[in-house]
Amino acid sequence: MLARSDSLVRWWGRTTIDIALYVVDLTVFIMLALRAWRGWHALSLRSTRMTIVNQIIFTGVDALPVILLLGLAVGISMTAQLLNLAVDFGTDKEMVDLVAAIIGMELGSLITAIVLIGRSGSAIVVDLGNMKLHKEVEGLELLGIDINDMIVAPRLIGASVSQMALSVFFAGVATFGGVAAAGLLLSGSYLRLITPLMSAFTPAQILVFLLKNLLFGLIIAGTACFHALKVGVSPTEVPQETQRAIVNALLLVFILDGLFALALAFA
Amino acid sequence: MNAPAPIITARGVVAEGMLGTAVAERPLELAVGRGEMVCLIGPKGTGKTQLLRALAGLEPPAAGSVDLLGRRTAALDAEGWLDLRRRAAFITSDAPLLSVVDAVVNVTLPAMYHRIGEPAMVRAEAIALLDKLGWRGDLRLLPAFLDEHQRRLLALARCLILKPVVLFVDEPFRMIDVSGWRHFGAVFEGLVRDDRLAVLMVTHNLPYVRESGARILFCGTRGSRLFADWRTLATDADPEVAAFLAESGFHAATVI
Repeated sequence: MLARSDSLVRWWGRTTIDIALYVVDLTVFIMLALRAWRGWHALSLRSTRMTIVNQIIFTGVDALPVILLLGLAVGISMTAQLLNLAVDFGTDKEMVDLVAAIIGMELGSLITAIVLIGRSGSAIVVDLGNMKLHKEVEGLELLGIDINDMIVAPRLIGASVSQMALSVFFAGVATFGGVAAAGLLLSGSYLRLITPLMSAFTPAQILVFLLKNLLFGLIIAGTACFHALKVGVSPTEVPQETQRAIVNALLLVFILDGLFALALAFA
Repeated sequence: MNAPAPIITARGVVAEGMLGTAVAERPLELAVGRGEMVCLIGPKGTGKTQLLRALAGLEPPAAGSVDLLGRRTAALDAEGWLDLRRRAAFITSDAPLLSVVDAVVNVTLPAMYHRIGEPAMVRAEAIALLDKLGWRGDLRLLPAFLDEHQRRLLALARCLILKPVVLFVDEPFRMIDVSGWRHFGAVFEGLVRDDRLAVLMVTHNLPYVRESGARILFCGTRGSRLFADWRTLATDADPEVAAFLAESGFHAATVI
């Protein structure tokens, strides 16, 4: 029994160290990529500019319909229910704050991040992983092209911008759409909450929300690029790294979201 | 008048993975100047590619030192390494191109990245370069729709657009037919003769090596030896050289 608990402690310790080392590696990778980016100079290069634009189109614009659909679904299923339950216990202000905090600030970020991880994170790993597999990455480096500058940084920037924009969009649809749905489906009186909901988001909250989503975007694209560039010589490594990138990105996004929630609770 | 400094100077070089083997007993001493071609030949497993990569500064040698374009390769930082790659081009045996962009963008991309000129000018230069290299085909096609000969010419062109001083090529004639390699051979000879490029290549194509008139670096199981030309190699008394030539189809009657 003692031996079993001892090995469990060892496993727990080793796993914790592995996760910590992984986070350090990933952070350094993202920071090096952003440091290598040549900013406006890079944007003047058509291929880099197009990489960012394409990333924003693929990750952001193309995901709009699914985010709209999910936002409406969450609005109808959760916001409306939340209001229906809270109406007996709280004031209008408390109900609005509840919807803004839970649906807008938390679910908006998380569901958008989950969609982006599944949709864009996996696509980045497959795309970049195949480039690595077929030595295209090495071919560029041999021409004096900095991969961090030309390939990784544009994806980080594109995914972060998209995550921020989509989560704002999702939060808007899920909260206002939810209140509207509650008004239409349950009782017209819920529509009175739309005006106070508009002022429920304080500038500080919006700033924290944007910062959190910026970090989510960096994690999603950073994890994807980090794992894609680990692909070696075997085609089987591409799906393996894709799976690792998705699982790790999900884990990190949820941990970061929890840390943000804790920080806000103590602030 | 002083002779121009060599572009590559290798002193006591042993390639990565060859330390501790018999190859390390005869480390490489080599100096290569502008307008010179050196062909690295030899049996499989004697570290030709590793040696080429060490000479190009892609990997540090296991022993000895390499000075490339006046800079000690082992002392280069990441920025210096990337900067060196513009003037010391290296084409791997796979000659990979960027699969998501078309033929002409593959050639213009490095020039645009390094801001060598305006897009229209670079594009015109790329087309002129491809024409000079004898490239025939649709420039709007993605690499996947091109044949091996076309892809290899594009890989060469995208290096040349950076106007390098030295070109390292690993097995440039792989997977191309006789007319293809003859065309390639003529291209390399033109680059050496007209553009004064230094070219170092690993090849198994001995008919080309014989015709090229290049210096030959024979990589054997006991190390590398430099020969002034094919005739010197073919008449050498080293049994390993003779055995390699015989295995490659060059017998006593045909070797010279």
